[in-house]
Amino acid sequence: MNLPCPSSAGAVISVTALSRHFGVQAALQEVSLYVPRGCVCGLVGENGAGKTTLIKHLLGLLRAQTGTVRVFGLDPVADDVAVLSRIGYLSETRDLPGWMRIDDLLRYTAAFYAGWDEGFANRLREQFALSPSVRVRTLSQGQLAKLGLLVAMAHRPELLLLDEPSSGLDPLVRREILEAIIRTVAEEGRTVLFSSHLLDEVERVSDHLAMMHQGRILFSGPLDQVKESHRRFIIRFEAAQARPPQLEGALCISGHGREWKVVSSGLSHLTTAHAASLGGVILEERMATLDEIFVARAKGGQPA
Amino acid sequence: MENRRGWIALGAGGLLCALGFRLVDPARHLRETLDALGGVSMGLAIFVTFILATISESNRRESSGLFPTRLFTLPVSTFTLALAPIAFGVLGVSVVYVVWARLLWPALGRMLPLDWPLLYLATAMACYQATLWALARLPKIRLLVVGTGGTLFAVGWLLFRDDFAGTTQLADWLGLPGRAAWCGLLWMLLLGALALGFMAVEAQRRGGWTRLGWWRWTWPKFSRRLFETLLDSLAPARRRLNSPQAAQLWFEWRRHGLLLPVATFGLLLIIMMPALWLSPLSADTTTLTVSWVLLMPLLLAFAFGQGFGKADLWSKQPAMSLFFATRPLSVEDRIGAKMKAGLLASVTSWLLVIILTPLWVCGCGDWESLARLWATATALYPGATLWLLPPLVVVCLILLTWRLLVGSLYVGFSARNWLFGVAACGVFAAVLGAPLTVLALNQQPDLPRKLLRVPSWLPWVLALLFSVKVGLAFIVAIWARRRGWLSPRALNRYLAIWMAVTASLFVTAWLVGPVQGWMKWSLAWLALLAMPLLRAAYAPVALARSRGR
Amino acid sequence: MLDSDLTGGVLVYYCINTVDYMHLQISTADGLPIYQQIFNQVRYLVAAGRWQEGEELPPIRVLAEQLAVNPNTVARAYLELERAGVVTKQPGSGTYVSKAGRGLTQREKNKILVRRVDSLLVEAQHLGVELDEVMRLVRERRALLLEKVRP
Repeated sequence: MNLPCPSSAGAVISVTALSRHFGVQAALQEVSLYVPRGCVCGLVGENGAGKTTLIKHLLGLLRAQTGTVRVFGLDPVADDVAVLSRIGYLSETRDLPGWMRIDDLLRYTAAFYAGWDEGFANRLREQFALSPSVRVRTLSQGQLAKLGLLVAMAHRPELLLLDEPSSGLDPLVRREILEAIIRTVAEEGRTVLFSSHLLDEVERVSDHLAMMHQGRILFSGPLDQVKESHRRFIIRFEAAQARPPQLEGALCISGHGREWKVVSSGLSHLTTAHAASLGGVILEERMATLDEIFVARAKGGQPA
Repeated sequence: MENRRGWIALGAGGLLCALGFRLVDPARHLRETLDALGGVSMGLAIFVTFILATISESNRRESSGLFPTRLFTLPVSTFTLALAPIAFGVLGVSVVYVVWARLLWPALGRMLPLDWPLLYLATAMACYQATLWALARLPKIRLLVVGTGGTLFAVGWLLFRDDFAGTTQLADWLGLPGRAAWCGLLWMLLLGALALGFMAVEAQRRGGWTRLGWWRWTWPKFSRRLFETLLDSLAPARRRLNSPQAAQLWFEWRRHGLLLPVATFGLLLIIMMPALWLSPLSADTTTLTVSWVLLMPLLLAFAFGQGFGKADLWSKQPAMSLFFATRPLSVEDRIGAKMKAGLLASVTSWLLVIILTPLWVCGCGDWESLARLWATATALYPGATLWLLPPLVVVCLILLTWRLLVGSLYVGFSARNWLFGVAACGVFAAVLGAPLTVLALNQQPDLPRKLLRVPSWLPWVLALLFSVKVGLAFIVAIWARRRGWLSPRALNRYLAIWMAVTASLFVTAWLVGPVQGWMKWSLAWLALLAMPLLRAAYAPVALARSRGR
Repeated sequence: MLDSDLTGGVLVYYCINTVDYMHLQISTADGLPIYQQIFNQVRYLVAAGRWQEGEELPPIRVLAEQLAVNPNTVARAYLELERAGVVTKQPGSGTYVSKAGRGLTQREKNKILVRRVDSLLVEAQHLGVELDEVMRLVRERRALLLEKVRP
């Protein structure tokens, strides 16, 4: 179900068959990802799935061991300056220099970008209630995240890379950050790739979705297609089943006794027909939530 | 307990020593050699035991060094919690000592006593752990206290030796009855340390020392804030930094470059201020002070230079932080900014020295001995050279300082811990080697003369080194050029700088150098070798490789 | 627990719809795509007569920010609403509730209710409650709710 078009002509990010090993441990295995211009791509997966490693490849901080990485059609390792000056990046660790004052940090950062929008930066700063003379070290986690986002967005980059922008934050700050991202998206031509393990957030904000699990991309594609192609059933059988019934097209089956929850993809009519032939009655059918899809895919293990 | 690998290594070390000592025949070697062998191995083993027995939070990110918080969740009284690690450490160090005293030293032909050394080591261990916990919140002061205490303990055992003549004198002087009294003192220390350890752990379990709270919070913050405000005012970011290079230069200057002038100024004040009360100083003291002052920027630059190449001197990680790594700035601009900041730092420091020193000598020194030096120089050098020399020497000093700062750029930029380790070993060797050499020279008065007789092959070796260096630098530079890490402009610029600097060093060396032939040639070759060429060429490679691993 | 949960939900529903009917709610807990949730809720608001004919819908950006969802999603929901004839887009000014929007009322109401009745019936079958009992409960709850809402 690899929906994205491998015609990478219009793609801002195109990663092909990228693998990465740290020692014997494989961090990325045969990862391919295409993100078209103007799209918000959510990168989801559990901690350690390889999201940060993938983003570091996009920034040119890691060299591709096998496969290719292209951002704006350029190699981010060889053309680091050209690529980085068009990217806004918020790191997961939010490691802004603690000793700088906020105004120094903004001045320092502004010098690197031709498109730095002073007015926009000031507006964001006021909106986030960050006082210019405060040292970065004294900021709270939420303020740090906001400042990091400001620094990443104020030069109006063509590509915004956000690594876990809202992890570890309280709902209020998370909401503020989401709103800021949405405002950026609303402007034409901005492409956003953001990683998160909060599926709710991803479903709200993104229109493309890529799911990572243990260094592989389980599936990727437009969010609507992903959602529409996965269905969830509750099936009741006549007699209690000792082991999970084997159903065609089912990704994941859980439950016990007579009632079983089934998540299926694409071939849901096969699943229902098969279930009916085994004497099952469908009690409930609806679209699967992202959560269910992710669990089903991760348990299923095999990429689609 | 946790550090299983460490304990295994210690055990293996002990075994190795045991095997090694069996092979040694005590009769055939000098007593001193055997003692040194046993002493060093035992000292190392005890030192390692102390480190292994350290029980504190080893959270790297916070580096708090507190008592491990998770232990507080155990259903055990604080007394047990505090006592168990101390007892464990004491046990460990005792076992190590007994092993050495009863199994290893006899092979070397010596029997060590067991009574007082065990008490001594136990006290040291208890004091060590209690201090670690008690001062956990003040890491810098803790380091100081542990360092001082450790040195005291490392030397203090001499007091107990039978053959140490000072024991009785000191005991008499203190009005104490010899070793028994020292042992009594140890017992008191031990009990005090136990009590302190218990109190510290109890305090941490209950949320901190309440009495010390205000001090703990205000003092480090206040001093840090003062220092940062000072640096901020010395290196203000201009209203608008108008190019990436300017911004990076500001960053390097504010974060790394300023340290050298500030430290130089601070030390100048520390050295010169007391003289204001003691003035006028004698001629000899003046000369001594001035020579130290002139040496100081070089020494400081040597010390700072080890960390100057790091992406951020103060951070614990060797690698560049993600924020700085993702600024769009080319490899050569990053290196250029560091080099410029280094040059700025060395020029400023030397300006400070050159302006302040004459003022100080005028104020409270004595010109006489300096004047004598000048007279000697007048006799040595012809007129024109004499007037050319001082500015040349100053320029060379500035350049040497700069060289010391930027020489290890490739180590810092490579962000590899083992390179740091190797470089640190070099520094250790230099720092330890210097006093040892002085000691050796003291013992053998004819050695300097031997050393000064430069062998005739030395210039040839240096010339060979120089050509190897130039060749390797050429290869590395071409490599960097091919991969696009170096632009021709940057390459040419650095080459021009290198040539200018080397030429000035060469000229100075030629003019200053003693008139004898080999010596002069050696100095000249040294001047050619002084400026980093290979290392400077490798710096962009190191940075580019560490960025895109 | 189920029982109190259900009543709570209904009461909240009443409150939301009487006090602040502009308030759309997005939930990712049931698998419905977000654009469809917006679509359903706007259609419901129009069908229930809460949004009158000719009333302007919030601009896409404003609604997207308010709901913290992707603007493209809101745009898609508006597009579907326009296709369904619930709203009309007037180039250059905005999106308005269309004239035809009111005409759909009865069918729409039935459609919305049918889904709820379905889930109620499924639940009832689950619990093994007879249809008569369900009908009795419906009447009883209605009386209770009316009593609560009236003062």
